[in-house]
Amino acid sequence: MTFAIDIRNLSLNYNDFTALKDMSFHLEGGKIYGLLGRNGAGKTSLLSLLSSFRKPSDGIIKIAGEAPFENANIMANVAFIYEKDYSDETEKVKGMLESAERYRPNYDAEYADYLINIFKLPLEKPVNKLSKGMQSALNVTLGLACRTPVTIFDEAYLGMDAPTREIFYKELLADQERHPRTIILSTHLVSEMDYLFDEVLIIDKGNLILHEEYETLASKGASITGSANTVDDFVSIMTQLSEQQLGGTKSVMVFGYLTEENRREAKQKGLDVGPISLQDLFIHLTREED
Amino acid sequence: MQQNRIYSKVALDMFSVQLIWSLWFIGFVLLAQIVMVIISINTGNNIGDFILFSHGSTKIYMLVIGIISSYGFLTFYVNHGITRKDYFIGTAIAALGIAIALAVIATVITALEYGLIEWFNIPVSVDKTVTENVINSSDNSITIMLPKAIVSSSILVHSSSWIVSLLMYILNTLTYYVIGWFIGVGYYKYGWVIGFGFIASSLVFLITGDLLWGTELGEPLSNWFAFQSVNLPLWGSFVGSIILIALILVLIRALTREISIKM
Repeated sequence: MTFAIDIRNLSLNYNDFTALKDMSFHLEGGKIYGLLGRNGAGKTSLLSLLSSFRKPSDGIIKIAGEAPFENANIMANVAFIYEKDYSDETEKVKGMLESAERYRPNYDAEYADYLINIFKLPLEKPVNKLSKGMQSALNVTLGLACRTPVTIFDEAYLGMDAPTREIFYKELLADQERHPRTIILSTHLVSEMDYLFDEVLIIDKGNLILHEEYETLASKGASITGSANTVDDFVSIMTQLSEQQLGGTKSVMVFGYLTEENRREAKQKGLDVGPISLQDLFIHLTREED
Repeated sequence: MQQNRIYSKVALDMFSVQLIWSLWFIGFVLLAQIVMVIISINTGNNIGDFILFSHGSTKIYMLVIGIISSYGFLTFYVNHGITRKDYFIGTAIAALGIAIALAVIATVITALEYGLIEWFNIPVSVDKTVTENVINSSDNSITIMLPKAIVSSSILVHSSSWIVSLLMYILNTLTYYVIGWFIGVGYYKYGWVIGFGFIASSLVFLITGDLLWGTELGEPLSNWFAFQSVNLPLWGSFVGSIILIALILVLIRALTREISIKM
């Protein structure tokens, strides 16, 4: 069972500040979505609406065809994992798992135990005594083991070190394979997570500026690599996002669709045409205008 | 059907957590009572029985755990996918459960107290009719105001009147719990500036609650009133208390219906 998400003309205002403006999109069930945006772009605002933490100021949210706010059937099936302040949480890891088990209909205790093991979390330790990284690992353990049809991770992996994050990504993909659900990952760590995404949403200043399949997105631009002069010459008429040079070899990220002719020409000149990185695209699209 | 199950789960969980806190609390009050008995044996002063003695501190304790019930549990439950409605119903049921549990425990301890004093012939006069509704410590440093009904009716040997004490204990402590919950929700929703307004309105509820039971008003603010106490028949106190609790619960529900959850 997967849940689709439908957003129509969604707005959220805090007093006189507009956090989200007239946003509309549709997320098919069973895919992994990357939600990208700069600090304060409105990522958490959007996610807190999806998880019924707030009520929208305007517009409609439908999850599995129903309005989620105060809807017990939907809310029980939406998990919102974010970096919580655990400084006052004296409950033990075990107790946290038990309450999740009590309230989440699809919770899988065996899978939770497995995750606790690979993250090396101590069951008997109070949560406020765990390191930041372990607290994050506990959060993602809960998020994965709840197996909720809609699972939202809002920067939930910030405290984890790189090897632990790697374990999380691996487990996420493996469990998604076994139990497909709608997963939203909001992140700053674009370059290391991009391969997880089926689709990407970029929001900026409360607006949705891009919603695209990851594969299509990769063809929205290209990286051109070759000898410095040839590259400069070739990209001179294109929108350049970033460049890197090592000795006589240069690599430039360009934005815009490359035609077959472009590609042939590049080949003739001995240039390498590779996919653009999501990171560069993200930075370009959300750049502040001077 | 599923709705039913969820709020009863919340109620049971809230009740178990708060019952553990309450047992600790009662333990400390009992300790204090034993100390009072020992003092009283030596000085010959009268002391109030346990139900009387614990009444004041239990009210304050209920106020505190009421405050915690918003900060400690609202975010927790919504984050577990529980609706605000189920949180509200579950918490209210648990609060009633705790009030009943504390009253029953206090009554049982009081019965034991009378039994033990009689059995061992302990030279202490535990009094159900302490004069002037006030318990004083031997040097007058601690004064506990007592509502009239409990003073005049906590005669455990007469069953009709210990039931009255029990019910009154439940209603009084429950009133304090919902007032605490109300303050907590006000702070949670509006922050500390407007939160003060909730404390102010809570004083009105507290005074109303005390007036209903004919307590002499102790708070300095109540000097503003033209009267010092009101006389109600006993059933009037009961009905008044129930209406007051219901009114505060309605306000809490209105405040939390669409409340934004703190992250």
